Amino acid sequence: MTVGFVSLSHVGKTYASPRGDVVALADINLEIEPGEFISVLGPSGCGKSTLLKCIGGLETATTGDIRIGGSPLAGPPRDLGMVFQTDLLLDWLTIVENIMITAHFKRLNPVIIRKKALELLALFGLDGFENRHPWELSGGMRQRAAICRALVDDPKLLLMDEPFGALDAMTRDDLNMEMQRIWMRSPKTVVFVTHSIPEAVFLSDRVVVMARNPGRIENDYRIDLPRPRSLAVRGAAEYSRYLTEIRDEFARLGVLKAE
Amino acid sequence: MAFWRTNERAITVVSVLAGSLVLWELGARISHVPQFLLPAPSVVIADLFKAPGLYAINSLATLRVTLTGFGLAVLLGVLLAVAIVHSRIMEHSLYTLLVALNSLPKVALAPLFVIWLGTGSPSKTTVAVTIAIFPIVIDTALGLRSIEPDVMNMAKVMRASRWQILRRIRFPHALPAMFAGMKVAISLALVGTIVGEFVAGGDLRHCAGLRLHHTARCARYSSILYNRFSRAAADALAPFAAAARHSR
Repeated sequence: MTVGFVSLSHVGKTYASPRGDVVALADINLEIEPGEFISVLGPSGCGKSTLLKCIGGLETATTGDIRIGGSPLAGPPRDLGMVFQTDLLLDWLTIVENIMITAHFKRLNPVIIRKKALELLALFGLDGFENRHPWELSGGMRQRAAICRALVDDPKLLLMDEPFGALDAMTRDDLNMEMQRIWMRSPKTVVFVTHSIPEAVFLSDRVVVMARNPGRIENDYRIDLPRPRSLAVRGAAEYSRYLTEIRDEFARLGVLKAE
Repeated sequence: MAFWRTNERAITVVSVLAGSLVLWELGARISHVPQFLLPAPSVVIADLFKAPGLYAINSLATLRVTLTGFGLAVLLGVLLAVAIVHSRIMEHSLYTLLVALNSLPKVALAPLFVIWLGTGSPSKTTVAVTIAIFPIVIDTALGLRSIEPDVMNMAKVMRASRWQILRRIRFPHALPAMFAGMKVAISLALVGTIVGEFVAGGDLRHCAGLRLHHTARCARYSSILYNRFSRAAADALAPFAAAARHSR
């Protein structure tokens, strides 16, 4: 087995609680290739967000070993961008200032980052909104700005924690398309956490299926659909086959009822 | 109509203030209450203009101590709140101590401050600071602390230092709470100053609190009134109490 850009071996996470230990993650083994778009799919409570936080160095694994680019993890690694469930834009800053916070915190050249920020905003169709405040933007636009903030210093690894979960279905489709477009422009390693099977299949090279009690990896699907994928791919037989296969897996795990 | 719409707030405030003055004046004149119990506002104003310099000097002295006390309370309070938010030891020691101290009536401490610091403005400023600092510390600490956990995660991913998080996230986030605390603290600073002046008064010539105390003692009956009003507006009340004494 090859060692990937992100490499997890026998990773476990246990929380101590007054009623005894809670096993959030048990024996997670995962190799992620550089430039791979991988989705972590699972029901709520299966530890997929915890797994993402462990990879991002925000939580320490209780057991096992996490390596990024070959070196063991000690806190959030360099070259990491993260997108969260909500946009987390700071209300008192304009959109471009919100993106510039990456430059301030990571001590990067503000002139270069500002230029990059404006480019990215244009790419996401947010040109002309750079000097607006977050509350003037719709939910979809805000999350686009949050993605710009994570991408502005061109990180090698992008972690996304259910980034489109709070958006309506149409905006979600729209952002799935844009996500693919941006990723194809400069492929980076993406770990994308979601509980939507169609979203995972549409975006990913690989879909990892997790189950709960304890949180574990149950299956790993390679999605061989040609890129760029259009929304029309959702009508394709290949696409439906993946969906059915994954849905059956969840039914087998007792997460979804077959009938 | 357009004038009303654009100035609605100002018009309401002015008419409420003017209306209550008119009611007070009418009430005092019609009800035949002795003037030493309730002098009409016109009498108070007339008395004010008999010695405007005296009242101005007294009020200014009080104002100066109040503002100094308030400023020190803001400075110290914000520093303490930052320390409390950033260190668990500080939170357990300092915060507990502050809450314990706040349950103590500061009025009771005022004589102690006078013994330690003399009857000049330092003792009065100290009373003002000890009363005003509490809401500032509590509200600022609350504001600095109530950051969404994922915002902190985002900052950690960007490898932000504690100072950067304080400056760029915690502090701007805490500003509304800080202003709420300051709003309470400014009136408490005035209360503290007046209390300090009551106690320290002694040989001090210039302060509204002493003037109040002195005139009230002479007037005796009006003490009830000045007690009620001194919190709201000491400088407006000084001529009021003086008028009561004068009319006796």
